[in-house]
Order: sequence, then structure tokens, then C-alpha cells
Amino acid sequence: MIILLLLIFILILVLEAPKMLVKKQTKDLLVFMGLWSFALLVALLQTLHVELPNPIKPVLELIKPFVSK
Amino acid sequence: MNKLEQGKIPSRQFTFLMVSFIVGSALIMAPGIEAGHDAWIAVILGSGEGLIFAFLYITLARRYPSQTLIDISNSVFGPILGKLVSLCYLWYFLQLGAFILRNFGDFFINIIYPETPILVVLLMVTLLCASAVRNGIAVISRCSLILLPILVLTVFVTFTLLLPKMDFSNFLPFFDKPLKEILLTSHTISTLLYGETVAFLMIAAFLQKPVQGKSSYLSAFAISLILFTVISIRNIATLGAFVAIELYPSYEAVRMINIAEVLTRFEILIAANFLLMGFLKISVLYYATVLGLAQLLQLRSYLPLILPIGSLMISLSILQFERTSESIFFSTKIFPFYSLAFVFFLPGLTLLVSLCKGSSPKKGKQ
Repeated sequence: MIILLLLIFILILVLEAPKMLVKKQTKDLLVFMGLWSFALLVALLQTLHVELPNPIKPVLELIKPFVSK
Repeated sequence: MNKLEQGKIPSRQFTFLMVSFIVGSALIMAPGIEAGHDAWIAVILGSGEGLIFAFLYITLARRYPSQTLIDISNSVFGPILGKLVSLCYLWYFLQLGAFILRNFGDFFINIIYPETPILVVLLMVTLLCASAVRNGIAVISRCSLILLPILVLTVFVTFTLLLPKMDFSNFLPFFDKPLKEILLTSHTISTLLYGETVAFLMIAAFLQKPVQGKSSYLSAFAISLILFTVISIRNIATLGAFVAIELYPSYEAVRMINIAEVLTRFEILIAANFLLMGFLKISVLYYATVLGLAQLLQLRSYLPLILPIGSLMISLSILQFERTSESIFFSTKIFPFYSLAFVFFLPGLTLLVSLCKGSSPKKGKQ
């Protein structure tokens, strides 16, 4: 599973990065690499079953008292 | 001025895309499910509230023709605060996309492929949407031109075939539920369905003739209201009181079709339609996120962002909910109030500030 995930992400890198390198779009490349590594990190942690903070939990706790009867 | 997207959308395709977007998830989630057999009242009331959102967006789009939501926030709030507001919108689009994706996956896992891991469905759909987003908004809107008539045809064919099974006394008594509950349901409908069209402020910028934005928005609104009412009447008349306890009422209702043991098993049509409309809806939100991020950071192209954002969307959709009941609870009870911040307060604030600032900078363009 992890190997498959890494393969997919390397494929994304190989597909996208060279174009930007050739055109010397440094900013685009930086943003892409940032997003790519963040996505990889999240996906990797999920595959390893690490408990990640759930972004809707705070919203749930905030609004629940008002709607539950 | 928009270097990122060269495509232009004719106003009819805009209408079609918006109808698919509004009706898309409602087709399967069945709007107003909590109101039981009063759901059709909630649908009509909810559309009344939806009209407020509609006029908010139309006014914003008319004040800033051929500007996306990111440009609008930038020019209204200034570069720093504007970026913050835009980030809020982008988060909303990403989250909503993940949310719809999850609904989609849940439906297919619960009904059609019970043994398949959900990741497979999510991955397939996201890849499909990624290819649509890569081709640009013109292609997505052209898809809707073909896919929406299929939906409309299905709705009317199933309605006609279900006529023998319908029992119109199911509607009685009117206003059986307390008014508060009906109003709560109609609020859910308006934010969940019409409020989400805030994403179209990202797309309205690419209209061929921005002047026609208003009329195409309103006609989309009217068409989807008719479709909704027909869908909810069909479900209530067929299922009666059961409509409130079914997870997927449309699917269950269409399952009842049985014309002389020959015309049966129509429910797969509902699943197929959900596939088509869900594809359009996720693509629009996906596109709005990717394009918005590229505009926010002033990149030269949005194409490289597509796959990483897609991966994040899948992660988020798995992370958000552990089971289907959680997502249903969230979508009917929590989300209507949470999303109000993005679909009403932020655009409303934008409009208010821009009205206070006086004439819009791009007024002379038209």
C-alpha cells in the first residue's frame, strides 16, 4: 500500500515538475512542491493509520449544542 | 485579464451546468428528508430563502463583471485581508468537494459495491474529475449540455412509470410537522443546495456575455426548483411515511417501479444519474479550488496544482467522517449553519463593503 502510494506520488512529480523546470517557473514549482509534499504527508500518515486532527470536529463541537434537542 | 483560463462559456451552458450542480447531490440525498411528507413544502420555502442567496451573488457578479471571487475579494478588501477571505472560500470549496465526494463514495459502497474499499471509488471519481478540470471550464460546461437532459428525462420517465404506485393521500395532513422543524429543513435545503452556488462566482467570470448572467442564473434556479418539486412529490407519493427513514429515498422509490413484471429494476438509472451529476458537481468545486489557489498565489498556470489538490481532497473526504450516519448528521444538522458563514456572511460582507466604497472600479467596461 505504501509502495503504491509512493509510486503514485512519484508519478505525479515526474508528470508535472519537469515542465516547470524547463520553463523556469520557480514560483509555480515552489507552490507545487509545497502542496505535493503536504498531500504526500497527509496520505502517508493516513495509510499508516496515524490519528490526524479532524478539521470538522471543532465545528461539530461549536454548533452541536444549538441544534441537538 | 484572466490569463489562467482562456475558455468562455455561453450562457445556456452556464444555466445547464448550474442546474446540474444544484440538482446533483439532491437527486440522491433527497432534499427535506427530515420533514417527512411535508418535504415538498420545505422545498418551496427553502427556494424562497435560496432566492436571497441568488440575488446576493447576482448583484456581486454584476458589480464585478469578468472577475472571479478571488479578484472581487482582492479589490474589495485590499491585498492582505482579501487573501484571507479568499482562503476561507477556497477552504469551503475544498471541504465541500471532499464532502460530496464522500457522499458519492458512500452511496456506491452502501448500495452497489458493498465489498469494495471506498478508496477505489474515490480514486476513480477524482481521476475522472481531474481530467475534466485539466481540460478547463469550457469542457466541463459542455459536458453538462449532454448530461443534464439525461437527468431530466430520467426524472420524468420514472415519475410517469410510478404513477400507478402513487397514493396522493400520503400528502395529508398538510403541516403535520411543527413549523419550526419545517423551517429548519427548508433552511437546510437552501444552504445545502442554493447556497453552494457561491462556487459559480468563480465561473461567472468566464461567461461570454456577462450581461446574461442574471437571466441564466434565474432560469437555472427555476428549472432546479421544478425538478426538485417533481422529485420530492414522486418520493412522498410513492413511499409515504417511509420517506423519512430511507437513507436514499429516490433510489427506494424508483425501486418500486414494476410494470407487469417487465419494466423493473429502474433504480440503477438513479445511480447512473448520480454518477453523472456528482461528476459535474465535484468537477466544478475541484476547478474552483484549483483555479482559486492559482489566482491567489498568482501562478502562471493552474495545471500543476490539480493532482496534489485531488489527493488532498481524497484524504480529507476519508478523514472527515468515519461512517455514513455521521456524514448524514453533519449534512443535515451542522452544515447548514456552518456553511452560512461562507455562502451568506462573507459574500454579504463583500457586497456591503463594496457598496460603501462606492462605484466599482470596472464599471466602465460594459
